[in-house]
Amino acid sequence: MIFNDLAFLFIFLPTVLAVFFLPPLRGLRPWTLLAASFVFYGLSGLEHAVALAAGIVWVYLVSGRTGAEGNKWRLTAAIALPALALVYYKYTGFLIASVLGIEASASKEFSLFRDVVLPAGISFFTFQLIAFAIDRYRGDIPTVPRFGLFALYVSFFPQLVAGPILRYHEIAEPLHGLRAFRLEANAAARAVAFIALGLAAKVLIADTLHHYIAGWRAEPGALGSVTALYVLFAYSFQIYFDFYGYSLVAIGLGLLFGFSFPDNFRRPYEALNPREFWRRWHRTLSYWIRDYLYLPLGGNERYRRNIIIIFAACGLWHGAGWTFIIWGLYHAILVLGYSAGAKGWDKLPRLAQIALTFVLVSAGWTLFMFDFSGIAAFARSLAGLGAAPLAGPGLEHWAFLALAATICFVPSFEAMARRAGDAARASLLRAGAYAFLSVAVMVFIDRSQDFIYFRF
Amino acid sequence: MRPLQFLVILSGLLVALFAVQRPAPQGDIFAAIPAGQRVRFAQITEPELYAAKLAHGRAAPRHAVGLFGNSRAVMVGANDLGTATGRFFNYAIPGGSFRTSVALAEDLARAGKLPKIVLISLDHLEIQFDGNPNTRRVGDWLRRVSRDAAAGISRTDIGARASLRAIWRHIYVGYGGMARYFNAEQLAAGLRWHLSDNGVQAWWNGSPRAGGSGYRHDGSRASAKPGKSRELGPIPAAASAVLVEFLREDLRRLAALQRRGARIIVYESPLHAASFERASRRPAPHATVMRAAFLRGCNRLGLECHGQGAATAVAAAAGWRDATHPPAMALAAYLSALIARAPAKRPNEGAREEGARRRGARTAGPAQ
Repeated sequence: MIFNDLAFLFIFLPTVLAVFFLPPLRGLRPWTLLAASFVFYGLSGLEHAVALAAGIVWVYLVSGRTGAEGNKWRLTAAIALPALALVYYKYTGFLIASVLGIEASASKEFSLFRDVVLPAGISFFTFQLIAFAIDRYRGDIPTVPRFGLFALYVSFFPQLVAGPILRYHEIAEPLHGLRAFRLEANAAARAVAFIALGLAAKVLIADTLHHYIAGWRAEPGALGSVTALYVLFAYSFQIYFDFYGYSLVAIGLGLLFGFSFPDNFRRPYEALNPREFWRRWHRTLSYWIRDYLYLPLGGNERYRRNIIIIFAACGLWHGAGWTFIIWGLYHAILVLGYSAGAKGWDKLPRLAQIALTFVLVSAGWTLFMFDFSGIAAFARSLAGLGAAPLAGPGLEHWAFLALAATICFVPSFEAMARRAGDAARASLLRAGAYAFLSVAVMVFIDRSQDFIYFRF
Repeated sequence: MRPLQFLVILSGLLVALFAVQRPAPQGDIFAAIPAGQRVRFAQITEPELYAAKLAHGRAAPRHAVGLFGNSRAVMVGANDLGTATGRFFNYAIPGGSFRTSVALAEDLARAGKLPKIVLISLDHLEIQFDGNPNTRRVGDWLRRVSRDAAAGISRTDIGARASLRAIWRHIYVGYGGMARYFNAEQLAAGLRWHLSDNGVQAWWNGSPRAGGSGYRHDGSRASAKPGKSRELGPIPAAASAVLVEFLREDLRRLAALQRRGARIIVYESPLHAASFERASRRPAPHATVMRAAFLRGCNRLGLECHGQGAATAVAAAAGWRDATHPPAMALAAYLSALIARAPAKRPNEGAREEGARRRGARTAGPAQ
């Protein structure tokens, strides 16, 4: 199931809320949410729900015992199963075809290694499982949570398939306080605002951009240079609003059940340099990598080596393919390049720094859009060497891109959503605006696409 | 803002969204189509077409022949059947199921306009296409749900399991019907409808034309070009989906209509030769069981029913759109032959079983 679906908005969410807030079932709230989360996930494939459950049970059995602190064997065992599952589901095809160089068989018989369907969000929940095991090893979670609460920490539906990637300690308090939780009016208002704004970002902005550029993306070698430039920046905004929208909805849904999720984005396209970009974009992944990979590798002591390793890993986390690995290395080069030339870079006017960072990051997204031949063709188009160019963007396309850019750089959705919780501020007008936005989302929801980050 | 304010305004806007939608056609949008021409309908949905065809049936004199079904029957026009204009109407609803056809026939019977000869296409049982009638009227939907629910409680031959499955499908269809309103094109069509003169032409997408695809005044729809050969390959056996308990129940409803003076002929929709051969050689076991139940039910109820084997000539014809959509002329020839056959005798109420046993061999469908 996905957030941008009427069945989720009209059936799943109201049902879960009704059962959750039913007074006689107050004591069962963690189990209600756990059951709802597995229904949410299981609707996209029972086998994947079983894989999720197996990972939860395994990590809890190994790391949830006393004696997990400082025990390397337990840590290794706890991490091994979810990591192997991630490798099997996500990287088998890549390893067989690209690394081992084995050609895919044309046989129609089922193959255990070829016919693998990637469970949605496996990279996200695997990282949460690993984080728990490491935190237990380090002694950062001295008290073992009850199994139900641990299972809910991993599988909680608002953040299950595309984050934010949470640490147990970040949500331990609301998890333990679920039975006593009361939804206050201002929190409900903020939740509604987060959900409405998030869905609007996804359905009204990201999906519109998707429909605008889908035809051009299918023919990367047949574009004029202006069209190619349009595709480059439109995709940059598309992927931002797509993932940002998801994260806002996740925050809003969390609030409805008493959880305060961390921000995953802090206006990333306003970053002054590539290093700062990663402190603003997908922050929960950046901090996960910092805490569980970069620092254990030695952190700044072996800066260059570690930056290359973590960005290659970051690329591989995003997808099983060389383009993703190169995308990660590209960002490593950007970060290292910035570090080497920071003195010069920082002297540039602020606007130039932002623009330069934005252009460099946008150029990197081409590795998300195309395979290698597509990238080469797209590069030719950018250079004005595209064959028989298709018709380029019209006024409507440019106007919408300008609107997306304005929305990206001017208002803060988080601030707007937080203001929505203030009952004293133009209440009726605000309620009307959010209601109108919600209906607008519903009217366009049938043409909405899957979230891009579901693939990761 | 206050959440209650938001919810009240949101509810109001949703009501407005529903209110702005184009209402189902009440007038006869087929009568205005000039003979020999065809019209495309603008953004018409399955329940709207149902309402339109029902409105036509109510407005027009009782037809001699009516063809019911879905896209596998909608291409047949009066000319194809060699029937005089006004004596035939094609009531097929693309996207509809056998249950849709039965519901539409009942609605027409209630208005006293059920055609004298009712031809009903049952989707070939290898396709396993099943579903409940789609309607825009909440009352109709509730009536159908409660009838299927009551059948599960009161009838041992249907049972709770089949009844629950049917109810789930009603919910699914109802949800799908509701979800259709959340669509920008539908909303725009609704706004255009309210801003126009609201006449039947508001349903037309452009003017009538002599060629191309579109609906004719006899309810039929001009078929598209024949499919490429790759689309004519044998269809795979579909998983079991038809609720055989309700198939029997629907046959009983048809038998009740037949007792009111109509001749009812049910035929299993033909398949293209390659699929027909596959279905004959390696039929899906559940399809075979259902076909036997279908033919047995017809036999017992005195309905004229024809299984897949009766349509061999259609299977071999040229011009199939795909493996399950036959060319109009070939299907029409088959249907004409069915009409020309002597109608089966109808059993007395008191001696139904005995009569059915005697007539066992007369029912045309070959056993698989």
